[in-house]
Amino acid sequence: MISKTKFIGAVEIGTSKVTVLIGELTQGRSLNIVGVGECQSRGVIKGIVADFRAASDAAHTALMAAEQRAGARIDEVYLAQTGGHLEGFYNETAVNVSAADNMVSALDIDTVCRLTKSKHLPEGRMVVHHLRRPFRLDGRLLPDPEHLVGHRLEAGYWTVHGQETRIADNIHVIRGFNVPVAELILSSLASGTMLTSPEDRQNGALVIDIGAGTTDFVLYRDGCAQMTGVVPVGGSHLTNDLSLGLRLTEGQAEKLKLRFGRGMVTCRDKSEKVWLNGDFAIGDRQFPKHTIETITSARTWELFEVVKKKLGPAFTPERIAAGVILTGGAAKLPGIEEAAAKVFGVTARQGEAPGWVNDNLRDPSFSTVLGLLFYGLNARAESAPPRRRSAGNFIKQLFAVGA
Amino acid sequence: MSPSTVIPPPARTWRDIPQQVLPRAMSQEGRRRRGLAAAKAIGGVVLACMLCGIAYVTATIWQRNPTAITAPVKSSPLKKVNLRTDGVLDETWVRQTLAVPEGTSLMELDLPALQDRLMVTGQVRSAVVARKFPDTLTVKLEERTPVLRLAVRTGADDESLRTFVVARDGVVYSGIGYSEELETSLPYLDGVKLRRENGQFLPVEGMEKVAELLGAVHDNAPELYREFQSVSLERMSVDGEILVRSAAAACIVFGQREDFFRQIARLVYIIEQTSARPDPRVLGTINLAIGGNQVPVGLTAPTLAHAGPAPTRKPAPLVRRESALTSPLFSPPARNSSTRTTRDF
Repeated sequence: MISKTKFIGAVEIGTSKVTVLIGELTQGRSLNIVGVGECQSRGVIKGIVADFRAASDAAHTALMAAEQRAGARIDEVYLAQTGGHLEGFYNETAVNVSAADNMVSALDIDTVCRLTKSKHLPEGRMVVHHLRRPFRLDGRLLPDPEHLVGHRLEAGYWTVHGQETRIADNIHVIRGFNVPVAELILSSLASGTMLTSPEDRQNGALVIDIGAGTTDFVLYRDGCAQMTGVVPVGGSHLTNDLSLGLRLTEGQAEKLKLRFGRGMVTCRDKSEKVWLNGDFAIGDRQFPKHTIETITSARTWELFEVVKKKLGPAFTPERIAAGVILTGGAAKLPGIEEAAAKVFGVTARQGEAPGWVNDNLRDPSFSTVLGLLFYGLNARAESAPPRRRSAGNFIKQLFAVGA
Repeated sequence: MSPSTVIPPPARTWRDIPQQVLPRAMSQEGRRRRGLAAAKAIGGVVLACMLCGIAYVTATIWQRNPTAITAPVKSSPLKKVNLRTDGVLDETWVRQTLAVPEGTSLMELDLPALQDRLMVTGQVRSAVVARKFPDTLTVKLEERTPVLRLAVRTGADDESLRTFVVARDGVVYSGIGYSEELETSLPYLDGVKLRRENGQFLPVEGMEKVAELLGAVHDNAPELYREFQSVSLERMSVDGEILVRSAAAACIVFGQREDFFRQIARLVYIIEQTSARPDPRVLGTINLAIGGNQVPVGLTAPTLAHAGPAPTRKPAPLVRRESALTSPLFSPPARNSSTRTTRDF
């Protein structure tokens, strides 16, 4: 049997860095991570390509680094998509079961799904994802209603759409490397796939990926993604706030944020000060620690409040048993879990990759690219046509007497 | 769902975005990879076209003229013919028989056809033709050895008389390259009906035993062998007897039931005893086929032919018509008594 090996590149073009992960897919089932590439991002603002040449150079550098480490060429790319232009809406449709015996057929399911997905979009916008929620058959929530008896079949989709031009820019950055984009996946979905277990998704979980330029979130309930969203605010805004508030350069503000920033104010002594560099060299100066924590926690709280507002009535603490799961570079901020718990009223924790993930890839910054690979492969497996029974198998089963 | 449900077209997705990018929008690495991919694609197409072309040309040639398909390796023209044989055929005969046109390359030769040409004459028992690059054809022959000879008239006049030889396995053929000395030393064959098939004589049955007898006489009594004039097989199929006409006796009958060596020994004894007696009568018939120690011997009055030494004139050759023969042998000719005849039976 000839072994079909394909090299898939998972690419996340973020505001602060470009991350590339190469997975070797063998016979369509076994996946091995064989290469990693990173590069500081340029030309990307809040997840949107603002300078095509700069973004291409950065992305291609990361791609080449990953290929060099893997010793293989990428055959196709799964690309993460984020940005404030992404929006979502819920659409629901109902059909009557067509069969005389009221047994739901595949045609009924196909019809209701197509009707639900056919909602017209505004000019210049394109669908990125159709996230199907569980079917309802006479009010019962069902994952697969085929061959069940009922009268009225309902289907609902959370449709994610974005600006065609912005999506095309992202795709063209990758195509400039002469590699096709096979899948386009929301960053939040990718992160959520890696950081939640099936039980978490069934019980309800909110995954928030706080990046440098954007914050992506996805709400899981009843085993599937109910809602997604993007807030064009990220860790760089905390840095910007510190820079403006303390009259620092971005670099100095970033340094202070990483050393002393917190999601919750813990310093009660307003006179306590900290050094900028800590080496007592010329130019080094002190800043009130309480002020630093206040600025960072305020922005953090605001961010969570915006997310909560975007979720709207879809979010109820009683139905989010697994709590809030935080990931992303900015989620490393000390005290951010407490801030999230207070804002959302549920438990909050740092997301952790599954146990089988290599230690080198357990950092939160790799959760999105890892999730791209697994979400993309699972989605392809689900959308693949069912295997037809061969005549040989049929005959074998027909004559399997006494088996 | 009612049959009249009309499903509107689905909304456009990101997959509807054309992914092609102009080269000017690609990075240097991207352009390099694109060029490599294009070169691979073009190379694949060219290779596929070449293979299709080769297959088409081969199929066309095969349909029209299969022999035109030559080996891919072109070789130099045939220059030498290297002959190895255990007989008398020479390279000149081989070249004439093969009749290879001038300038023919080694790879163009049809070896099976050349072998068939060599095997046309019955003198060649087996032929192996092989190429020896760069310009030599190797021919290895195994030839038949003649045991007896036949004079066959193929027409109404005397000029149609031809001499054939018969080999140990009964094959009748026109001897090529044999010396006159060898041919004249062979006894004549009588008492058989020659039949033709596809232009060739059918093999004579029973020659194996005759060759065994003649070989035994040649090895053990060469002087006696030199006096043999003819061998008749007219009673072989019925009585299993071989009749030999010799200068020593008019008719010597050999049987197949007893060892030929014993029969030859008795014959030699009888001839010696008879010649030592003062009786003027000569041996007529010696029947060695009965077996045992009793050998019927018939004596006849001497004739003018037996009164003096062997005739020196060359006798008339034995004539045998090509059509079905029923009359027995008569007037056997004298044979050349040269002692230089050597032959492997």
